[in-house]
Amino acid sequence: MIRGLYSAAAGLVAASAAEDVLAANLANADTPGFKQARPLQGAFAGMYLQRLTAAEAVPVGAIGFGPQMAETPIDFRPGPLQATGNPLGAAVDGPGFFVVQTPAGVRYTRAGDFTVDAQGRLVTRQGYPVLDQQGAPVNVGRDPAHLNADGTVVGPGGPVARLALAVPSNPGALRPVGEGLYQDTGGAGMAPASAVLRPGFLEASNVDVVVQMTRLLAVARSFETSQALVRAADQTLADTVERVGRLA
Amino acid sequence: MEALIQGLWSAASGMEVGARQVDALAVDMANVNTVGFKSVQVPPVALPPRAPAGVPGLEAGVGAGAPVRDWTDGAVEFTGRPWDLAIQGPGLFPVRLADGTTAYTRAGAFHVDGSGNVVDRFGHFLLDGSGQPVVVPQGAVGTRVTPDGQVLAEMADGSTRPVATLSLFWPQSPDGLQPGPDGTWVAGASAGSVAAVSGGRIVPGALETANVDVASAMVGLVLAQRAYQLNAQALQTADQMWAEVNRLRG
Repeated sequence: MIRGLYSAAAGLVAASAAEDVLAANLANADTPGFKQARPLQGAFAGMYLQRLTAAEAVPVGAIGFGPQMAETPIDFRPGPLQATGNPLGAAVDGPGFFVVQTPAGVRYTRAGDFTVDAQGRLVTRQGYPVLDQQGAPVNVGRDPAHLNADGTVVGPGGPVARLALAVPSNPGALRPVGEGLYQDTGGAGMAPASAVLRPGFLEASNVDVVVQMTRLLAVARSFETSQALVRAADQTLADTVERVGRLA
Repeated sequence: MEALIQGLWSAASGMEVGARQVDALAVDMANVNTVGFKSVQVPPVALPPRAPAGVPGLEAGVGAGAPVRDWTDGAVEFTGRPWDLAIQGPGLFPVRLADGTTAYTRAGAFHVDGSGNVVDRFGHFLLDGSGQPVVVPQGAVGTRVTPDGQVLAEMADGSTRPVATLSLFWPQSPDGLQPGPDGTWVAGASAGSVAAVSGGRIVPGALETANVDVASAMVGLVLAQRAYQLNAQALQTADQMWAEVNRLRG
């Protein structure tokens, strides 16, 4: 009975963690290059109950201890394309990522809305240099330049550089670090690939608003259910305390 | 409980960005008839994730990125006035502000003032390629600007006299241009060096209209409003869940 209280409370915690993920998804429903996360719940490790007799332990079945927030896998499906008209911007066709240099190290992004900074380098909207196939920042300079579908940056004098594109063999190891950037936490297997870009387009957020709102509704109701269960367990406990042992 | 509050803040951050986008769209719409106006957007940027216990890699909310100007050309509207100068392609006219500093403008509605100075509609001097104010000489009956920037004075005797050569200027990074007084642009540190640029072209006798696309601004307004509503709904859900917690006892 006390265990029921804990299981119900675990339901409350798991539902509120799921609500966090859904709220963050919805907040980024319009963020270029954003990939939605899925709140996946799992059961706490169950255990087998055994009845102890004098001679041996007889299995009587499994018992669970309620749900927990297991993981939040990122849904890397492509988002819809938006025309931007930016000659230095492109959406990635296929599973690849642009490679950018941040102060914290190399990061990957799908938000290909690039511009030129005060030093003439090709940078993301947050000012991080975009890397070419040699792993060096791309110097665009002052003259008008544009991106080609194969990732070449073309200036008035011809090709300037070719952008690096990395395809993960295990996207699950990529962790979002904000600003549309992803970090390889080890084992993502980022392999260089030849770019297939859609210049002048930007990949919009892949958040599916209808699904997220429906999940939010379900999570809120499941939270309510867990709350009712906590109260029921509490009432049972109260009855036990008050009535058991009372004579009249 | 702490986790529940995060959902609240994510939703609130989405509402905040939606409101900022509506603000930017309102500025665009208000300037739909402003000569040389450049449309502005507020791109949403996912916030760095916080890591609450047991929730790996959660991107918690959204923030408003630095405003992005759309520097594409506006339409060219012919006026026939000799000192209406539209720009097509990259380029800005340098003007001298009242405090002596140089600013830049695409609002090319200039005129000649009483002392022969070529000024914009706020009285700022138009500068030529060498940074000197353009002055129409005494005795000129008219002036003409050629598409390559030559300023020619037509004298009373029918001859023409070169007065100055206009150059168009462009910063290394146009994102570094900050709005200055009277519709001008001031080159901030992040603009890099500003130098004469060859890619742009002067269209004399015309004005560049605002590059606000009213149809896409309306679509943007609908999207921003719905994003605001969506997040308001998520906020309400978080609030209801909190209320459930408060009803656990009682």
